[in-house]
Amino acid sequence: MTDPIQRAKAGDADAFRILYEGHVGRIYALCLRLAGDPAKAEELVQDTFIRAWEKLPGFRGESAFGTWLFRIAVNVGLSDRRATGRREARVGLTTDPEALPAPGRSADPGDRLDMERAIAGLPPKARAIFLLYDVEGYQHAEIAEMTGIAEGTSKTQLFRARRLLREALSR
Amino acid sequence: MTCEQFDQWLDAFLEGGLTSVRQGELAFHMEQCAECRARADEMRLVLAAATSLPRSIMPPRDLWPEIAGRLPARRRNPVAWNRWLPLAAAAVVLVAVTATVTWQLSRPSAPGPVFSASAPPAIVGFAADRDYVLAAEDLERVLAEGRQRLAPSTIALLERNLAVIDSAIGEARAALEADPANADLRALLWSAHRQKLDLLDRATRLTRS
Repeated sequence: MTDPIQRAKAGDADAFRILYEGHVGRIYALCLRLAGDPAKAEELVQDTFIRAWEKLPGFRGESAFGTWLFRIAVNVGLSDRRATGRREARVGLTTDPEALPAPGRSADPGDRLDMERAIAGLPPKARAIFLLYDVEGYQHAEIAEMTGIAEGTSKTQLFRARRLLREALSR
Repeated sequence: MTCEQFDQWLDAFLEGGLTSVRQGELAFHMEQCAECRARADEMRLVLAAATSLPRSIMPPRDLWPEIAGRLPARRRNPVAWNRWLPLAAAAVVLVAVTATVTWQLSRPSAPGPVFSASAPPAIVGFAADRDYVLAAEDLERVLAEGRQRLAPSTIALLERNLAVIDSAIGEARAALEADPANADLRALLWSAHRQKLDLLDRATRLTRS
Protein backbone atom coordinates (compact mmCIF):
# COMPACT_ATOMS: atom_id res chain seq x y z
CA MET A 1 0.00 0.00 0.00
CA THR A 2 1.90 3.06 -1.23
CA ASP A 3 -0.81 5.66 -1.95
CA PRO A 4 -0.39 8.34 0.75
CA ILE A 5 -4.16 8.70 1.11
CA GLN A 6 -4.58 4.99 1.73
CA ARG A 7 -1.60 4.93 4.06
CA ALA A 8 -2.87 7.94 5.99
CA LYS A 9 -6.28 6.30 6.25
CA ALA A 10 -4.54 3.36 7.83
CA GLY A 11 -2.92 5.62 10.41
CA ASP A 12 0.40 6.51 8.81
CA ALA A 13 1.23 10.04 9.99
CA ASP A 14 4.19 10.31 7.61
CA ALA A 15 1.84 9.74 4.70
CA PHE A 16 -0.54 12.30 6.13
CA ARG A 17 2.33 14.74 6.21
CA ILE A 18 2.73 14.35 2.45
CA LEU A 19 -0.91 15.29 2.08
CA TYR A 20 -0.39 18.23 4.42
CA GLU A 21 2.57 19.48 2.41
CA GLY A 22 0.65 19.26 -0.82
CA HIS A 23 -2.37 21.18 0.40
CA VAL A 24 -1.36 23.50 3.22
CA GLY A 25 -0.91 26.49 0.90
CA ARG A 26 -4.49 26.49 -0.32
CA ILE A 27 -5.88 25.78 3.11
CA TYR A 28 -3.86 28.56 4.73
CA ALA A 29 -4.88 31.04 2.02
CA LEU A 30 -8.53 30.27 2.64
CA CYS A 31 -8.21 30.40 6.43
CA LEU A 32 -6.24 33.64 6.32
CA ARG A 33 -8.94 35.32 4.28
CA LEU A 34 -11.79 33.83 6.28
CA ALA A 35 -10.23 34.80 9.60
CA GLY A 36 -8.57 38.04 8.54
CA ASP A 37 -5.94 37.27 11.13
CA PRO A 38 -2.77 35.21 10.66
CA ALA A 39 -2.67 33.73 14.17
CA LYS A 40 -6.28 32.61 13.89
CA ALA A 41 -5.59 31.32 10.39
CA GLU A 42 -2.82 29.08 11.70
CA GLU A 43 -5.18 27.76 14.34
CA LEU A 44 -7.83 27.02 11.70
CA VAL A 45 -5.29 25.25 9.50
CA GLN A 46 -4.29 23.04 12.38
CA ASP A 47 -7.91 22.30 13.24
CA THR A 48 -8.63 21.51 9.60
CA PHE A 49 -5.88 18.93 9.34
CA ILE A 50 -6.74 17.41 12.70
CA ARG A 51 -10.35 17.05 11.61
CA ALA A 52 -9.26 15.65 8.27
CA TRP A 53 -7.16 13.06 10.05
CA GLU A 54 -10.14 12.08 12.16
CA LYS A 55 -12.47 11.88 9.16
CA LEU A 56 -10.02 10.32 6.75
CA PRO A 57 -11.09 6.70 7.36
CA GLY A 58 -14.47 7.74 5.94
CA PHE A 59 -13.00 9.37 2.83
CA ARG A 60 -14.22 7.33 -0.13
CA GLY A 61 -12.67 9.33 -2.93
CA GLU A 62 -15.94 10.55 -4.43
CA SER A 63 -14.19 13.88 -4.84
CA ALA A 64 -10.52 14.75 -5.09
CA PHE A 65 -8.77 14.77 -1.76
CA GLY A 66 -8.04 18.49 -2.12
CA THR A 67 -11.72 19.28 -2.61
CA TRP A 68 -12.68 17.15 0.36
CA LEU A 69 -10.08 18.84 2.53
CA PHE A 70 -11.14 22.28 1.34
CA ARG A 71 -14.68 21.59 2.43
CA ILE A 72 -13.47 20.67 5.87
CA ALA A 73 -11.55 23.95 6.04
CA VAL A 74 -14.63 25.92 5.05
CA ASN A 75 -16.65 24.27 7.78
CA VAL A 76 -13.92 24.72 10.34
CA GLY A 77 -13.67 28.39 9.43
CA LEU A 78 -17.40 29.02 9.49
CA SER A 79 -17.91 27.04 12.70
CA ASP A 80 -15.23 29.07 14.35
CA ARG A 81 -16.97 32.27 13.42
CA ARG A 82 -20.22 31.01 14.85
CA ALA A 83 -18.59 29.68 18.00
CA THR A 84 -16.62 32.73 18.87
CA GLY A 85 -19.40 35.15 18.10
CA ARG A 86 -16.96 37.58 16.62
CA ARG A 87 -18.77 37.99 13.37
CA GLU A 88 -19.52 41.63 13.64
CA ALA A 89 -16.35 42.46 15.48
CA ARG A 90 -14.40 41.63 12.37
CA VAL A 91 -16.34 43.94 10.12
CA GLY A 92 -14.31 46.93 9.21
CA LEU A 93 -11.10 45.60 10.65
CA THR A 94 -8.10 46.13 8.49
CA THR A 95 -5.83 43.17 8.32
CA ASP A 96 -2.19 43.71 9.09
CA PRO A 97 -0.67 44.30 5.66
CA GLU A 98 2.41 42.32 6.63
CA ALA A 99 0.21 39.31 7.21
CA LEU A 100 -1.37 39.47 3.81
CA PRO A 101 -0.12 37.53 0.83
CA ALA A 102 3.08 38.79 -0.66
CA PRO A 103 2.74 40.85 -3.82
CA GLY A 104 1.90 38.62 -6.72
CA ARG A 105 3.28 38.49 -10.16
CA SER A 106 0.07 39.37 -11.89
CA ALA A 107 -1.80 42.37 -10.65
CA ASP A 108 -0.37 45.57 -9.30
CA PRO A 109 0.64 44.66 -5.73
CA GLY A 110 -1.02 47.80 -4.42
CA ASP A 111 -4.30 46.88 -6.05
CA ARG A 112 -4.14 43.39 -4.69
CA LEU A 113 -3.44 44.61 -1.19
CA ASP A 114 -6.44 46.90 -1.47
CA MET A 115 -8.51 43.94 -2.55
CA GLU A 116 -7.32 41.80 0.36
CA ARG A 117 -8.17 44.59 2.77
CA ALA A 118 -11.56 45.12 1.23
CA ILE A 119 -12.30 41.39 1.53
CA ALA A 120 -11.20 41.44 5.17
CA GLY A 121 -13.74 44.19 5.76
CA LEU A 122 -16.69 42.18 4.47
CA PRO A 123 -19.24 40.67 6.84
CA PRO A 124 -18.12 37.08 7.52
CA LYS A 125 -20.83 35.23 5.64
CA ALA A 126 -20.62 37.47 2.59
CA ARG A 127 -16.85 37.16 2.72
CA ALA A 128 -17.00 33.38 2.78
CA ILE A 129 -19.38 33.20 -0.16
CA PHE A 130 -17.33 35.69 -2.17
CA LEU A 131 -14.15 33.71 -1.53
CA LEU A 132 -15.76 30.44 -2.50
CA TYR A 133 -17.49 31.73 -5.63
CA ASP A 134 -15.31 34.47 -7.07
CA VAL A 135 -11.90 33.47 -5.79
CA GLU A 136 -12.16 29.68 -5.61
CA GLY A 137 -14.57 29.14 -8.46
CA TYR A 138 -17.22 27.03 -6.73
CA GLN A 139 -20.80 27.16 -7.99
CA HIS A 140 -23.72 28.16 -5.78
CA ALA A 141 -24.99 24.59 -5.57
CA GLU A 142 -21.60 23.42 -4.37
CA ILE A 143 -21.35 26.26 -1.87
CA ALA A 144 -24.81 25.44 -0.58
CA GLU A 145 -23.83 21.82 -0.09
CA MET A 146 -20.52 22.78 1.46
CA THR A 147 -21.83 25.33 3.92
CA GLY A 148 -25.35 24.13 4.57
CA ILE A 149 -27.00 27.33 3.36
CA ALA A 150 -29.62 27.62 0.63
CA GLU A 151 -28.50 28.35 -2.91
CA GLY A 152 -30.58 31.50 -2.87
CA THR A 153 -28.78 32.67 0.25
CA SER A 154 -25.46 32.07 -1.44
CA LYS A 155 -26.54 34.22 -4.38
CA THR A 156 -27.82 36.96 -2.09
CA GLN A 157 -24.61 37.02 -0.07
CA LEU A 158 -22.50 37.12 -3.22
CA PHE A 159 -24.55 40.02 -4.55
CA ARG A 160 -24.05 41.84 -1.28
CA ALA A 161 -20.33 41.09 -1.09
CA ARG A 162 -19.63 42.27 -4.62
CA ARG A 163 -21.39 45.56 -4.07
CA LEU A 164 -19.65 46.17 -0.78
CA LEU A 165 -16.33 45.48 -2.48
CA ARG A 166 -17.18 47.72 -5.40
CA GLU A 167 -18.01 50.45 -2.96
CA ALA A 168 -14.88 49.92 -0.90
CA LEU A 169 -12.57 49.80 -3.90
CA SER A 170 -14.04 52.79 -5.67
CA ARG A 171 -13.57 55.13 -2.70
CA MET B 1 -35.05 49.48 -17.78
CA THR B 2 -34.28 51.43 -14.62
CA CYS B 3 -30.86 51.80 -13.08
CA GLU B 4 -32.02 49.69 -10.15
CA GLN B 5 -33.08 46.88 -12.48
CA PHE B 6 -29.79 47.21 -14.29
CA ASP B 7 -27.88 46.68 -11.05
CA GLN B 8 -30.01 43.66 -10.19
CA TRP B 9 -29.13 42.02 -13.50
CA LEU B 10 -25.54 43.25 -13.66
CA ASP B 11 -23.90 40.15 -12.18
CA ALA B 12 -25.62 37.79 -14.55
CA PHE B 13 -24.85 40.20 -17.39
CA LEU B 14 -21.13 40.12 -16.62
CA GLU B 15 -21.19 36.35 -16.28
CA GLY B 16 -23.02 35.98 -19.58
CA GLY B 17 -25.89 34.22 -17.89
CA LEU B 18 -28.76 36.16 -19.42
CA THR B 19 -30.90 35.53 -22.44
CA SER B 20 -29.77 37.40 -25.50
CA VAL B 21 -32.82 39.66 -25.24
CA ARG B 22 -32.06 40.60 -21.64
CA GLN B 23 -28.39 40.93 -22.44
CA GLY B 24 -29.33 43.38 -25.18
CA GLU B 25 -31.52 45.37 -22.84
CA LEU B 26 -28.69 45.81 -20.38
CA ALA B 27 -26.23 46.69 -23.11
CA PHE B 28 -28.62 49.29 -24.45
CA HIS B 29 -29.17 50.76 -20.98
CA MET B 30 -25.44 50.91 -20.43
CA GLU B 31 -24.98 52.85 -23.65
CA GLN B 32 -27.49 55.41 -22.48
CA CYS B 33 -26.49 55.69 -18.80
CA ALA B 34 -22.98 56.80 -17.89
CA GLU B 35 -23.53 56.00 -14.21
CA CYS B 36 -24.47 52.39 -14.88
CA ARG B 37 -21.65 52.09 -17.37
CA ALA B 38 -19.26 53.17 -14.60
CA ARG B 39 -20.89 50.71 -12.19
CA ALA B 40 -20.38 47.90 -14.63
CA ASP B 41 -16.74 48.89 -15.17
CA GLU B 42 -16.14 48.97 -11.42
CA MET B 43 -17.73 45.57 -11.01
CA ARG B 44 -15.54 44.18 -13.77
CA LEU B 45 -12.54 45.44 -11.82
CA VAL B 46 -13.77 43.74 -8.65
CA LEU B 47 -14.17 40.43 -10.46
CA ALA B 48 -10.81 40.78 -12.17
CA ALA B 49 -9.16 41.54 -8.84
CA ALA B 50 -10.79 38.46 -7.31
CA THR B 51 -9.41 36.22 -10.00
CA SER B 52 -5.93 37.68 -9.64
CA LEU B 53 -5.62 36.75 -5.96
CA PRO B 54 -3.23 33.90 -5.14
CA ARG B 55 -5.10 30.79 -4.13
CA SER B 56 -2.15 29.31 -2.36
CA ILE B 57 -0.20 31.04 0.39
CA MET B 58 2.33 29.24 2.49
CA PRO B 59 2.03 29.87 6.23
CA PRO B 60 4.89 31.88 7.68
CA ARG B 61 5.99 28.97 9.83
CA ASP B 62 5.88 25.22 9.85
CA LEU B 63 2.56 24.13 11.35
CA TRP B 64 3.16 20.42 10.99
CA PRO B 65 4.90 19.80 14.33
CA GLU B 66 1.87 21.09 16.22
CA ILE B 67 -0.50 19.18 13.99
CA ALA B 68 1.52 16.00 14.38
CA GLY B 69 1.50 16.45 18.13
CA ARG B 70 -2.29 16.71 18.16
CA LEU B 71 -3.12 13.81 15.87
CA PRO B 72 -5.32 11.40 17.79
CA ALA B 73 -3.80 7.96 18.00
CA ARG B 74 -4.78 5.85 15.04
CA ARG B 75 -1.76 3.58 14.77
CA ARG B 76 0.14 6.79 14.28
CA ASN B 77 3.77 6.51 13.28
CA PRO B 78 6.11 8.73 15.26
CA VAL B 79 7.76 11.48 13.29
CA ALA B 80 11.45 11.93 13.82
CA TRP B 81 11.64 15.67 13.65
CA ASN B 82 15.23 15.98 14.61
CA ARG B 83 16.22 14.17 11.44
CA TRP B 84 14.89 16.86 9.15
CA LEU B 85 17.40 19.36 7.97
CA PRO B 86 16.95 23.04 7.17
CA LEU B 87 16.30 22.76 3.47
CA ALA B 88 14.03 25.68 2.79
CA ALA B 89 16.68 27.92 1.26
CA ALA B 90 17.45 25.51 -1.53
CA ALA B 91 13.82 24.66 -2.09
CA VAL B 92 12.84 28.24 -2.69
CA VAL B 93 15.13 28.40 -5.71
CA LEU B 94 12.99 25.96 -7.61
CA VAL B 95 9.86 27.64 -6.33
CA ALA B 96 11.02 30.91 -7.82
CA VAL B 97 11.71 29.29 -11.17
CA THR B 98 8.59 27.26 -11.54
CA ALA B 99 6.03 29.42 -9.74
CA THR B 100 5.98 31.90 -12.59
CA VAL B 101 5.09 29.36 -15.23
CA THR B 102 2.72 27.63 -12.91
CA TRP B 103 0.95 30.89 -12.28
CA GLN B 104 0.29 31.30 -15.97
CA LEU B 105 -1.79 28.17 -16.01
CA SER B 106 -4.01 29.45 -13.30
CA ARG B 107 -5.23 32.53 -15.16
CA PRO B 108 -7.96 33.55 -15.39
CA SER B 109 -10.15 30.93 -13.72
CA ALA B 110 -7.65 29.73 -11.16
CA PRO B 111 -5.57 32.75 -10.32
CA GLY B 112 -2.40 33.34 -8.48
CA PRO B 113 0.98 31.80 -7.95
CA VAL B 114 1.31 28.44 -6.34
CA PHE B 115 3.59 29.87 -3.71
CA SER B 116 3.98 33.26 -2.26
CA ALA B 117 7.18 34.78 -3.59
CA SER B 118 8.31 35.93 -0.20
CA ALA B 119 7.23 32.93 1.79
CA PRO B 120 9.57 30.00 1.27
CA PRO B 121 8.18 26.66 2.25
CA ALA B 122 8.38 26.31 5.97
CA ILE B 123 8.43 22.54 5.78
CA VAL B 124 11.92 21.21 5.63
CA GLY B 125 11.32 17.50 5.61
CA PHE B 126 10.55 15.37 2.63
CA ALA B 127 9.06 12.03 1.94
CA ALA B 128 10.34 9.32 -0.30
CA ASP B 129 10.50 10.13 -3.99
CA ARG B 130 8.09 7.35 -4.82
CA ASP B 131 5.45 8.72 -2.43
CA TYR B 132 5.29 11.93 -4.37
CA VAL B 133 5.24 10.07 -7.64
CA LEU B 134 2.27 8.06 -6.45
CA ALA B 135 0.48 11.15 -5.19
CA ALA B 136 1.04 12.82 -8.56
CA GLU B 137 -0.25 9.75 -10.37
CA ASP B 138 -3.36 9.87 -8.25
CA LEU B 139 -4.03 13.46 -9.29
CA GLU B 140 -3.15 12.71 -12.90
CA ARG B 141 -5.81 10.03 -12.96
CA VAL B 142 -8.41 12.50 -11.71
CA LEU B 143 -7.20 15.08 -14.20
CA ALA B 144 -7.41 12.63 -17.08
CA GLU B 145 -11.08 12.06 -16.34
CA GLY B 146 -11.88 15.75 -16.73
CA ARG B 147 -9.30 16.63 -19.35
CA GLN B 148 -11.85 17.03 -22.11
CA ARG B 149 -13.34 19.95 -20.22
CA LEU B 150 -10.16 21.98 -20.56
CA ALA B 151 -9.46 24.26 -23.50
CA PRO B 152 -6.67 23.06 -25.82
CA SER B 153 -4.63 26.14 -24.96
CA THR B 154 -4.95 25.32 -21.26
CA ILE B 155 -3.91 21.72 -21.85
CA ALA B 156 -0.92 22.92 -23.84
CA LEU B 157 0.08 25.32 -21.08
CA LEU B 158 -0.40 22.64 -18.45
CA GLU B 159 1.78 20.23 -20.35
CA ARG B 160 4.50 22.83 -20.84
CA ASN B 161 4.48 23.60 -17.10
CA LEU B 162 4.54 19.94 -16.19
CA ALA B 163 7.43 19.42 -18.57
CA VAL B 164 9.40 22.16 -16.80
CA ILE B 165 8.75 20.58 -13.42
CA ASP B 166 9.39 17.03 -14.64
CA SER B 167 12.65 18.23 -16.10
CA ALA B 168 13.60 19.72 -12.73
CA ILE B 169 12.67 16.46 -11.01
CA GLY B 170 14.75 14.46 -13.47
CA GLU B 171 17.77 16.70 -13.05
CA ALA B 172 17.50 16.64 -9.27
CA ARG B 173 17.27 12.83 -9.29
CA ALA B 174 20.28 12.53 -11.57
CA ALA B 175 22.31 14.87 -9.41
CA LEU B 176 21.27 12.98 -6.28
CA GLU B 177 22.45 9.72 -7.76
CA ALA B 178 25.89 11.24 -8.01
CA ASP B 179 25.72 12.91 -4.61
CA PRO B 180 23.11 11.09 -2.47
CA ALA B 181 24.00 12.92 0.72
CA ASN B 182 23.51 16.39 -0.70
CA ALA B 183 20.71 17.93 1.35
CA ASP B 184 20.26 20.87 -1.01
CA LEU B 185 19.59 18.55 -3.93
CA ARG B 186 17.09 16.60 -1.89
CA ALA B 187 15.36 19.86 -1.03
CA LEU B 188 15.18 20.77 -4.70
CA LEU B 189 13.69 17.40 -5.55
CA TRP B 190 11.20 17.77 -2.72
CA SER B 191 10.21 21.23 -3.86
CA ALA B 192 9.77 20.11 -7.47
CA HIS B 193 7.48 17.32 -6.36
CA ARG B 194 5.40 19.77 -4.37
CA GLN B 195 5.17 22.09 -7.34
CA LYS B 196 3.91 19.26 -9.45
CA LEU B 197 1.31 18.20 -6.92
CA ASP B 198 0.04 21.74 -6.56
CA LEU B 199 -0.09 22.31 -10.29
CA LEU B 200 -1.98 19.06 -10.85
CA ASP B 201 -4.38 19.95 -8.08
CA ARG B 202 -5.07 23.31 -9.70
CA ALA B 203 -5.53 21.75 -13.10
CA THR B 204 -7.91 19.19 -11.65
CA ARG B 205 -9.96 21.98 -10.17
CA LEU B 206 -10.06 23.75 -13.51
CA THR B 207 -11.78 20.74 -15.01
CA ARG B 208 -14.72 21.28 -12.70
CA SER B 209 -14.95 25.06 -12.89
